[in-house]
Amino acid sequence: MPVVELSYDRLLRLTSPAGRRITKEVLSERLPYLGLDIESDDGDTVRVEYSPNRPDYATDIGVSMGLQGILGIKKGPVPFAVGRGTRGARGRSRGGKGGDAGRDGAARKIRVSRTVSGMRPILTGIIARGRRSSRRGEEAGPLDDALLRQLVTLQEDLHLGLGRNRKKVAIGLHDLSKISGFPLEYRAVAPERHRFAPLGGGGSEMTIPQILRETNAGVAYGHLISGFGKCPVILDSDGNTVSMPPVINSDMTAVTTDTADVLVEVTGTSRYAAESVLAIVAVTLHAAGFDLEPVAIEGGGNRTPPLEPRTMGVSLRKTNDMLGLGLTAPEVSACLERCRLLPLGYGAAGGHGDDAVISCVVPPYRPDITSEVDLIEEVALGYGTWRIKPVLLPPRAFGGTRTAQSRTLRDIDAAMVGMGYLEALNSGLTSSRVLYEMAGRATPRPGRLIATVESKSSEHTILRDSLLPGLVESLSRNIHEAYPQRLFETGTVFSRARQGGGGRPGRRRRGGDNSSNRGGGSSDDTYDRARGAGGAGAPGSGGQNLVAETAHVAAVSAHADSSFSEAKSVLQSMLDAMSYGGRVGQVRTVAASHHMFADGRCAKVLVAAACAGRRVMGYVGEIDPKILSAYRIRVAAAGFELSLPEPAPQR
Amino acid sequence: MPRGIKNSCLASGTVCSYDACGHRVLAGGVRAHTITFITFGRQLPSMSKATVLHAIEKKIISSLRDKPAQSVTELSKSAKLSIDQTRRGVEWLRHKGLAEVSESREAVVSLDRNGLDLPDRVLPERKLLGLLSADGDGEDGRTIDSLKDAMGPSLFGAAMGIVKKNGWVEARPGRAGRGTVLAMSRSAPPPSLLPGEATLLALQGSRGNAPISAKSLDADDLRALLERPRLARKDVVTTKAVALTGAAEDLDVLRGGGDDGMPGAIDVGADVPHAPRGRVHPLKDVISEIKEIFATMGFSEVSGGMIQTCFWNFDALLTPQDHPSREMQDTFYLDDRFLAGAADASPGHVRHVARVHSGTWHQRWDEREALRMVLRTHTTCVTLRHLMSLPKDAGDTRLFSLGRVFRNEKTSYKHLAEFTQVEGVVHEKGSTIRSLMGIQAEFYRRLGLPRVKFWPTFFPYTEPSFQSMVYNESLGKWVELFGMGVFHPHVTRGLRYPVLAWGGGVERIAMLKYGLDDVREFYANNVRWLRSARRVEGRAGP
Repeated sequence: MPVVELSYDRLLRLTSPAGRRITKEVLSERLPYLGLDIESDDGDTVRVEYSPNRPDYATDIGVSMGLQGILGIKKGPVPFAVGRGTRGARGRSRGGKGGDAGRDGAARKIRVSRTVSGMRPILTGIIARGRRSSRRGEEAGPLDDALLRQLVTLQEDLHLGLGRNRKKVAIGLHDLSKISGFPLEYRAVAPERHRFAPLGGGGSEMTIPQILRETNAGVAYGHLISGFGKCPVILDSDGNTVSMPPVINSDMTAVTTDTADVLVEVTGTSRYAAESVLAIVAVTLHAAGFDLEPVAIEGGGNRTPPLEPRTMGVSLRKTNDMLGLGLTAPEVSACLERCRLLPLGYGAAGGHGDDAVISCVVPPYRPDITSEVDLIEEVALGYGTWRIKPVLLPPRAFGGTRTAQSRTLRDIDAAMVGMGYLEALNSGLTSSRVLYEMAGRATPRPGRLIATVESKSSEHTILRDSLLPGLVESLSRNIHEAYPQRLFETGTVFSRARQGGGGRPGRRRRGGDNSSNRGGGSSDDTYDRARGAGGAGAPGSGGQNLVAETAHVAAVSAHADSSFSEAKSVLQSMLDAMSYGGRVGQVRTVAASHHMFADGRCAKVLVAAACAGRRVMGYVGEIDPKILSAYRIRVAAAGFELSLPEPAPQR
Repeated sequence: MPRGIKNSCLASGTVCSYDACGHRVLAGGVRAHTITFITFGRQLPSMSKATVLHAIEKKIISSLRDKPAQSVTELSKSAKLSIDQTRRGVEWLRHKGLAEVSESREAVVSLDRNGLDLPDRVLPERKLLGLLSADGDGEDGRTIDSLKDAMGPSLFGAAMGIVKKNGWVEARPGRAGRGTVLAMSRSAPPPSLLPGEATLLALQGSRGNAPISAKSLDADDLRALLERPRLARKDVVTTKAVALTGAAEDLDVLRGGGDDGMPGAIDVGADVPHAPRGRVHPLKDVISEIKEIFATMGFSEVSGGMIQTCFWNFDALLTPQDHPSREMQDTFYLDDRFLAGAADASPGHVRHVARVHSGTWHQRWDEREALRMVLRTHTTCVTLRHLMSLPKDAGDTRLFSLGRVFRNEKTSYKHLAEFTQVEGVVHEKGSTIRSLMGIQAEFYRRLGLPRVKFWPTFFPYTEPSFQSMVYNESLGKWVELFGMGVFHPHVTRGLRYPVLAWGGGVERIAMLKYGLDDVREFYANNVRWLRSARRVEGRAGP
């Protein structure tokens, strides 16, 4: 989750108007109840994590607006008005200031050419004029270092979150006075022939291919505009480049602490996201001391952003059903106001009775509020989460049930622990080193592995099809500990299942399906799956999934005198103890070969199940000394692995 | 050797015998498996009548009667026992009040690295003075350059420091072109035995550089040598002397102690090794406890696959298709050979999800993307599938699921790529967020965590959403545990009541229970830890 750094000094100044005293302690206690997790707090600055659905909390300005509401200092929406544009601007214009774009009021306009429609079709924007005030003894606009830093943070967080790393939305902030003339044009140009001086490039002109190769931003975001043949740029009326969205702005329009008025442009692929982002930037600038003016936008299906609030309703009955607070309509309204929303009234019922519907104005900088439950959540926040008292549900006459699988595993645990075994736990996601290389098994070609894509850890790349290799690897990590060591594990293993219903019990696999032959001989190294595509299949689904998940149990005993007999005797006792013992029936061991076990000391375990004839349930034997010595295990080891029968169907 | 009961340890797979004292008999043929003897750290009551002595103890007592007060090393030689046996025997005798161990500390001196490497085994200044006096009567002296050549620059430097400080030599300009010349001082000639030389000789006289007692050396002379870099070293050694107590003097060792009237009596207070026990995994123990709490609170367990379609893991839970958490750097995907043929959900549900994503939220939605297979990133997909398969008129339902989930993260002391999550849902008439908080508080209370508070937070699929903060006594701070909320109505389309849901990582709770600060310990299968792990937090139970 994104993190924002807040200075207590600034936060206190922004939150409480003159004369009202609020302490740091009050602020830090209330921050979590806005949904802001305190990461660290050194007394001067506090770092908080905010949820990605509230990008308006990316600045101290946004956080202070939330705090004002929850502390009851200011209620209702932040006044958020877009002035009437050029006329108003002229009225306030500071005479003599050169380079003002308002030489032709009617032309404060951005035209979008159809040439960008295939790459990055959406553009929206607004102008923010700084209110002059006296700062450090001289007349100055609101932009100082601290505000500039907050705006950069806001921009970066919006790029990452709503902007999906600039792919969906990117923001450009420009010094309005440096733009030589409107209308601006947003269009595609041929990259080789177009030159401009990129931001931070020291003022020297470069071609677009150079910029994409040589600047950090070009390397990081160039892929978003390459592949179209042309590149989108914003040009002023003299043909100067203002920006090349979403990669980099021009050096010419860089915003500094000397900047008085700002042009905000937002480009992207989604109008909804672009206008939401614009609204968040606009309200932040407005609260920071800027007056807003529109920019007319036309062409390519674009529009001048309305930045209009929307009105939504919330039912009193649903609010109380969900929150259990027994609120009245006026109380709900008060809660919404504390969340800086504007409740209008109580609907036709006039606020009486449960049928009241409170209509509420939601400002455009709150794109997270899309449905009634979002407003109900706002009511809970405005009420104050710390004031909501837990209640107990009515107790139920009967307790809950455990799955049959869960009960079977509990029986196995008890039996194995009774025989002196320690339970081990390994990851289902393991490596081909453990599963193949160290287990003396030829690594199958990549297509046959159930592998994950782009794992960050080489220990977690493929899904295990067997538990025993992991247990032997665990032994290897304990060679300095006292013997005997007896370990067992129960867990899920994964295998490829055939499309279209691998779920029939008792199905045997073809020999050719066996990927794990040692030296190409005929090894019967497969388990009959108790159920095929059990894993991802929904109850009753047609088995289109290609991976089967099966529960297995494996055990290994390591000490100087461990033997096949010991392993088989433990196996027998475990099967005796399993509660479905009646269904398993007689156990028979028949000589077999398996990559984990020594030749001549390995058997397959056959079980005469009541329903499905003789099935191979697993293997038992002495671990191949070659595997042990590869792991530097100096004592003998023996063990077994079984696939567990399908549990009785769950009711 | 007293008669004792032979115990054989079958479980170990080898035969180890223990005699009456519980001491392992060190007879031939027994494998030297390590067996841990636990000392309970308490003094046995004084041996009045039935003092039972082990053969080792008898040998030690006999030897100490011949020569009182011996060190363990001396004792092992005189009693013909190994050092290990001697140490153990002395310890047993101490517990029985038959022997005492007194400690004494003594400073000892030996040559250090530079002292062992001295050229010609003499101090550098002795070498220098020797060169000067060998040069006739010393009046001419020698040039610095020739001395440097003869001694080597570093040895010469060391020697010059000392002789200059003591004024044993004089420097004067040499004849034309010869540079500075050194000669023996006439006013302050060096003493015949230089400071430190007596000690050096004594140390060189000790065979094999065995430390010699500092007391036997002249203190000033020793200090002079010790001041020099790494010539000699002084250590303080602690020697332990074992002596018999009065009680031991009175024992009739040869008769085997006072077994009058109780032949075959054994020392029932003696220490014994731990029997190797089997055990469920500490994490599984916490899992069972959690399952039990859920079951006794009326929740029924459901389970489901670890491999899920994106549809159930993300789309049905309203995670936008371009959401960062769906990227490969956070989620494990199976490659595209494992694309599901269909979303294995009802067509109506798929249409609904498509509408919510593209309509309400202005997001692009592609059904093919929903068919990719992922290792589930939470258990919510499992509970949701069960909820969606409930009949239309389903009444009150409480479900829980617990299982492994996966995140594509680098493992660290606080992150695992695969871990365990538990999740509960309530679909019940009249349930509110206050009852959701009530369930949490009760759940944590039964886990032994009675203090809980709730903070608002955000999840894509619940509205409102909270996180629970639980006070941990042993850490002395609030810890973030389960997330919770009411499923967004878009998620639980068609169900009668709002669905309360909560869940989180089990390892986090288990870490609190076992006082662990590295989550990887749960999957390291360290036998020593598996055998010995203990809870720091007790069980509270329902």
